[in-house]
Order: sequence, then C-alpha cells, then structure tokens
Amino acid sequence: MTAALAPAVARGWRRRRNPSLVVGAVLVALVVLTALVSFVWTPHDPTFVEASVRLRGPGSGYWLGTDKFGHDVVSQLMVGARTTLFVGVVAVSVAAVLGVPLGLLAGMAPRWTGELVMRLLDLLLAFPALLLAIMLGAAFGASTLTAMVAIGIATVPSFARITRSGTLQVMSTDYALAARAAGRRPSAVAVRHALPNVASLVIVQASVSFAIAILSEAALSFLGFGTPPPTPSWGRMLQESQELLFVAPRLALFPGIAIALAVLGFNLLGDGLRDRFDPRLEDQR
Amino acid sequence: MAEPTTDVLPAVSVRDVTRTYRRPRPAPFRPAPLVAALRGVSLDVAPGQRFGIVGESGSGKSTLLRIIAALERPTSGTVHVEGNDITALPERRLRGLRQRLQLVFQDPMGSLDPRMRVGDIVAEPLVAQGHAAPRDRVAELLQAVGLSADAANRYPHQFSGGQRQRISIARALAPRPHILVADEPVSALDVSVRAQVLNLVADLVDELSLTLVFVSHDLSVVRRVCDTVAVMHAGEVVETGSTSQVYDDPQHDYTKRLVSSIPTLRRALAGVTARDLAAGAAGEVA
Repeated sequence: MTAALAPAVARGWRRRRNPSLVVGAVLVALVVLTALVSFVWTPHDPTFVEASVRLRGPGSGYWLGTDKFGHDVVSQLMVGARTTLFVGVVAVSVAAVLGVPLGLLAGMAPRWTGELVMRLLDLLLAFPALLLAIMLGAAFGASTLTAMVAIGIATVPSFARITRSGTLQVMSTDYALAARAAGRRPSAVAVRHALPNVASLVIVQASVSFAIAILSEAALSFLGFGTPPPTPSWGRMLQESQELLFVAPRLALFPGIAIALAVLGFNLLGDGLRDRFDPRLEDQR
Repeated sequence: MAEPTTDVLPAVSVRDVTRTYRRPRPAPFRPAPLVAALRGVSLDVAPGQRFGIVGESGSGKSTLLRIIAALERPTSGTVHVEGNDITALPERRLRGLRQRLQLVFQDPMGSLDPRMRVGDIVAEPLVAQGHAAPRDRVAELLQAVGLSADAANRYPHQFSGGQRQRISIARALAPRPHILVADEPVSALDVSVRAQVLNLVADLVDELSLTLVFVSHDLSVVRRVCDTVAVMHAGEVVETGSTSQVYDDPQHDYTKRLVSSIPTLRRALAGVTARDLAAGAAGEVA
C-alpha cells in the first residue's frame, strides 16, 4: 500500500469498524443475491417431482440431495429465499406504513389522545401475532400474502411505539419550539422535524421486524397456514422434513441453517444500524 | 387599567399576566398542587427600546418570554404585541405575530435541527410563511451574521457554539421582524465568544432598528446591551427603570442584593470574596 493511500484507507476502516453491521450486511446480501440468481438459474427445477431420485443424499448431481418428492434441495432453498424476502418486505411495509403515521399522530396529538391510541395499540400487541395470522388465514385462505399482512398488522404497535417516543422527544426540543415560533404548522413540524429525526429508529426497527417476519412465516408454513405448495418456502421445507427426521435429518438441517443465517443477518444489521445512527456517537465519527 | 400615556403604541405590552403550572398529583384523590411561575406581571416595551429582563433561575423570566412569543398561554392577563392581543388568538391566526416577533434561544445546540442543513434552518420562517425560493436571502442573512454563504450547505454540528448562535440569529432575522426576543442567548457560550455575539446582536438591533427583549440572569450582560431593565423575582417584576438608574440606585431590596453581587475588579482588589458577595455584604466598596 502506498503511503498516500494509507490515511484514506485508515479513515474508511475506522468508519466501517462495526462488525455486526458488516456481518449482518454480508448475510443479508447473500440472501438477496441467492433470491436474485434463482430468477435466472437454479441447478434443477425446484418444483419438478422426480420419483426416481427421491431422498437422494448429497452428491454430484444434487449438491444437498433431494427430498421425499425428489425436489432438489439447493433449488428449493434458492427459490425459498425469494419467499423469505417477499415475506419480510410485505410484513415490514404494512407495519411501517400504518405504524409510523400512527406514532407521529400519537406523539403530536394532545396527551390523552396519544395515550388512547397507544392503549388501543397495546391491545393489539397483547394479541399473539401467529394467532392473528391463523385467524386471517382461516378467513381469507392460507397464502403467503395473508399471513404476512397479519404479521405486519401485529407489528404495527412496535413501529407506532418507537415513532411516538421519538416524536415526543423531538417535540420537547428547542428546535421544535423554534419551528413553531417560525410559524410552522404542527403537520409541517411532524414532517420536517419529527420524521427525519425518528427515521433512523424506524430503520433499525424495520430490520429487526424483518427477521421476526421471516421466523413467523417459517412457523406459519410449518403449521400449514403460510405458503401453500408448490411454492418453495424454508418453513414448509422444515415441516415436510419432520416425518423423516430420523431417516434424513439433513432435510431439516439445511432450511434450518438458512433461516438461522437470514434471521441472524437481519438482526445484526439492525444492531449495526442502531450503533451507526445513535446520535450520541455522532460526533465521534 | 392605567394605559401608558405615550402616544406611540408599545411594541410589547404585558398586563397582569399570571401563569400557574400543575404539578403531578401526589396521590390519586388529592388535588394537584399548583406552582405559580408568574404572579401578575405588567410591563411595557416601547418601540426601539432594548429591554432587559433579569432575575435568577426560577424567577419566571423564561416563562414570561414564551408567553410574549405566544409559545405558551398565560393563566390570566393579556399580552399585546404592536397593539394586537395575542393571548386571545388561536394558533393558526398567529402568523402575523410570527412574522413580527422572532426568537433566539438559549441553547445553540438544541435549537437547531441536527438533520437539517443550515440553509434550510435559516429559510424555515420564510418557507413556513409562504415565501418561495429564499436562496439569495439566506446568503444575505448568513453574511449579515458573519458567516460565509457556503455555510448553507452544511449541518449544525459542523459549527462551533458561537457560530451556531449566529445561525440562530440569522433564522430569527429572516422574516424581517420588528421585535427580537432573546432568551439567554450567550449564557451557553464560552466567555471568549460572548462579547462577539452580544456585539452582533447590538449591531443588528441598531442597524435594523429592532425592538429587543433580552432575558438573562447575568447582570453584566444585560447592562452591556440594554437601555431599560426589569428585575424579576419569584414571578413578579420588582423594579423597572433605565439600566443606569437601576444599577446605580437600586430601590428594591432584591435588586440591591443582585447589583451588589456583581463581581468587579475594584471589589476584588479590595479583598471582597465570593462569600461576601453572596451574603450581600459588599457594602459601598464600589
């Protein structure tokens, strides 16, 4: 390395010296990349039933073997990554689109209105997310979308709560007061001052909720209320491996590892982003 | 009510303003205790005056200032700004006031949104009041407070305390107000930059012929900037008068104690210690 480059590299390294952010980002990127590649290429057709190659062990033709229907496990995992991402995006979007405005409103409104909104959301929070998803699934038919809208609705309170606490904090600052003195309407103070200042909190919450949504989809698919066949899903792969746990434990192992890595990735990313956005650390960077 | 007999309308006129706060209830069925921050304050600020309000912390001076700026409502009493009763107006009809009266806050760190560029901060009153494309005006304002025009593209944390307070002043001057209200604008600053910022305020007030309402706990600061001063103690104005009169010939006991506690070089040379000052025993050494 040339001497001229060294300071710049050192600076870049110091800025990025946040292991959980790096590891999380790498894992998440891996999942995204796998899902993208699956659109153009998979080793085998993931949904093609080939009775002659049922329960084959890992080998040259099938890297991670095949399941009881003769599906290629690698191809199923790759296409399953799409489902996983779809799930996270839908659930987090629903939660953020409903939760953030509610939280802003609850933070700006007179005290008792805000309290009322939050107590109603507590009611929703007390309701188990999986139960809500099973209920919606029973009413509208089990599908990935229904399940994820349900998980999203169940996550609304976390978004609303974090947005409200951030908004209350912003509203108590002098710059919110200064904005009022400048003649800003309350709605403008919410959009111009509260929202940008709570954005980092919301991003962190989103990445954590993403991980929870992935787990929920896996759990729902495992119970049969999530992604219906033949669409590959990591959760349903687990469910289908259940009866063969002693014959072919690898069928449970691989989707299990995939879920664990994806969830770990999003959790680490959330942690890393939190460290990065923490305003108390701002001046040290 | 004895109205002032001058023929010009006062810039700010405060009449019998009280403000009480409710403390949290000590027990569910006991009444919430009340704390009186202001107990019947009246004062008049003439146009062009530099009006200082001094008092120790907790004397109600900041509450009074927020009420004058219509950021808070009085419990009773009225405030007129350039002849308009602002205490009766709902928030959305305060636009006229927001244009005529602007504030500089105490904390230069907390009064600027950390996620907003300086240019947007300075332009905020203009944008909020429906003026478009104030880019030239922002540059002009930044130059008026001694910052370069390219400061507009940077964020508040890239500036020092004194510079941030200059940004705050630029924002306050943006809508061309008639009245500038400053809440301890230099008390959070290093002593070394206080004088600069004070001089800037004084110069701008002269140049733009503004009316200044200046709150401080620091008597020497008020003396430097203001021509008239009101002394507040425990939610009341105990003495009002021209700065020199109040400082040289204080009437009220509290004012006497306050004035005698100003540390001066001569007193220090005469061997007066901080403890003597606090005890009000400085006597007539000065």
